[in-house]
Amino acid sequence: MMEFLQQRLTDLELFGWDEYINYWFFLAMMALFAFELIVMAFKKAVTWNLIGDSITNFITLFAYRFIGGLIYILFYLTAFFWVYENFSITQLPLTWMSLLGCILLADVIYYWEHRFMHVCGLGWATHTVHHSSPHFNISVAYRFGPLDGFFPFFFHLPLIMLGFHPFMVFLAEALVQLYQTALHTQMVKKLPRPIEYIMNTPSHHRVHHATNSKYIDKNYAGIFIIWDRMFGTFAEEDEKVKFGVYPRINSVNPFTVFFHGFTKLGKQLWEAPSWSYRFQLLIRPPIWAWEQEQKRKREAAAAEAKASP
Amino acid sequence: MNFFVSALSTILLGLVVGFALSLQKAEPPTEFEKYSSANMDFATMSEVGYAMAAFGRESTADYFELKDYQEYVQLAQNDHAKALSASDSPQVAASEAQASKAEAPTMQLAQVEHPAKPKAKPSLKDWPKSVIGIQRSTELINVEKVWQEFASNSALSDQLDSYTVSVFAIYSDFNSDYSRATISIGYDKPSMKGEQQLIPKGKIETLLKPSNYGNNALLNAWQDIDYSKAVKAVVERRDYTQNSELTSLFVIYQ
Repeated sequence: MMEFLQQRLTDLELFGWDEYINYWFFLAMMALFAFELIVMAFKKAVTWNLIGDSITNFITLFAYRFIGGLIYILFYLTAFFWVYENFSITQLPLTWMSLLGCILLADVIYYWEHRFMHVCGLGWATHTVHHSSPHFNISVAYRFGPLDGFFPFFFHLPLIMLGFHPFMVFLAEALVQLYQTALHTQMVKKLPRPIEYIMNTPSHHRVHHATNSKYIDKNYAGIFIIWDRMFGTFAEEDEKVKFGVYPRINSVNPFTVFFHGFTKLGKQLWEAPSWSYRFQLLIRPPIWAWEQEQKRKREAAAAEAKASP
Repeated sequence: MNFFVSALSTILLGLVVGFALSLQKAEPPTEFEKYSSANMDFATMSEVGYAMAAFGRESTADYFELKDYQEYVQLAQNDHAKALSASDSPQVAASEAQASKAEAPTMQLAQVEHPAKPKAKPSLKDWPKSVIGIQRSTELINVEKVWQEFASNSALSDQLDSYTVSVFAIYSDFNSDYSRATISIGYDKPSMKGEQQLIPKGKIETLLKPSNYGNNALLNAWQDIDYSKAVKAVVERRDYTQNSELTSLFVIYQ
C-alpha cells in the first residue's frame, strides 16, 4: 500500500486523470439527472418551470465554461506554473500520497473559498446564481455564475506555494468540485450516521441550499463536513428544506439568471450614498446591504411620519 | 475570534500536511516518469493527457515509442558490455550508446532515437534511382552540418508517415584530393514533395554491409575505396525501421 502511495506520477498523468474523470463523471451525472427526471415524472413533479430551470442551468454551465476557460488559459495556468517554479517553498514529489494530501488541503480550502463566496458581496454576486434555483437536482450543480472560476485561483495559490504541482492542484480541485456535484440531489435522504458525521452528504448540502432561517450560511464543506463542525458553521437537516435565495429571482431566462447577481450589485453600487458604502458593498456580507436598506427605509418612514402632522 | 482561530488552524494544517509530504521517500523517477509537460506545446500536452487518461501509461508509452526507447537502452547496454569485452573495434559505438543513454529522448517523430540491431537486411536490389532531399557542396570535414540540416528539415520529415524509411547520402563531384564534394541527402520516398536528387549510375561495390557502425568504422571504410578508379560517387545508406537503424556504404565507379 505504502509502495503504491509513494509511486511517482508524471504531471501529464495528473492532467490525464483530470480530463478522464471530468469527462466520465459528467456522463455519470447526466445519467443520474435522467434518473431523477424519471422519478419526478412518476411522482408527477415535472413542471415546465423545472424543465426551463434545468435548461437554463446548462446554459449557465456553457457560459461559465467559456469565461472559466478564458480565465484558465489567460492567467490561472500560467500564474500557477510561474509561482510553482519561482515562489514555492519546495516542490513536493508527484505521488499518490501527495495527491491525497493535496485533496485534503484543497477540501479545507474549498470550505474557505465557499464561505468567502457567501460572506463577501463580490463573491455572492457570482455565487448567488448557483443558489437562485428554487429546485434542487443534479442540473443545479451545473448552474454557475460568471466569475465562479475566478476566485478559486487566489484560494488555491497557497497550495502551489506550498509545493504542490499545478496539475495536482487542478486535479484535487476538480475532485472536490465533482464530489460536491453529486450531492445536488433529493433522491438520497440520509446516509448511515458515521458517513453523515464525517462526509458531506446530499442531506448536508440540501441544508446549504436552503432559505430556512436556521439553515442560512451553513454547511460550506466540499468533501468532509468536519470542517463545518470544526469551524462552527454546521447545521443538521431536521426540518423541510425550502430551496432558493431571497429575494427570489422568479425567472428561467438564462441572461437574467446568469447576470442577476452582478446586475443587483451594480444597482446597489450605483445607488450607494458614499464611496465607503460602495467599498463595503463589495466586501461585506449581502445581509449587511439588506440591513442597511431596511435601516434607510425605516429612517425615511420615520422622517416622513415626523414631517406629516 | 472564532473566525481567526479557524483560519489559523487551517494554515497550521496546511503546513503540517505539506511538511509531512515533503518527508516522503518517493521512488526516483524512471525513464518514463522523466517526461514532463514543461517542454510541450499545449496541443501535444492535451493529446498525451487524453491518451494517458483513457488508457493509462501504456498508451502514452506507445505515443512516445517509449518501449522502443527502453529496448534501445537495453540494447545499448548490451553493446556496451560487448564493447568492453572486445576492446579493438566498436569503441565509438559503445561511447555513443552511453551518451544516448544519458540523454532524455526527444519527442518529435523525426528525432526519435532507434535501437541499433539489424532486423532485415536491405539489398542492392531495392536501390532507387533518386531520393527526395537536399544537396550541398561542402568540405567533407563539415559533412555533419549537412546531416543536421537534413535532420532538422521539417518540411521533409513532416511528410513521413512511417518509421520505416531509407535515407541515402550521396557524395559526388569530389575535388582532386577528395576533401570536398557535393553531398545529397534524401529519403527514398518517391511520393514526397521536395527536390529530387539522382543517384549516379555505374558499377556499384559494397564497402560496408548493412549493420550498426560507429563513425570510425564508417571513416575507415572510405580507405577501402580504390582511388585508382574513377569514383563517381560514394553512397551511405541508412535504413530505419521502428526498432533499428542499419548503415551500409557503397562506392560507384565509372
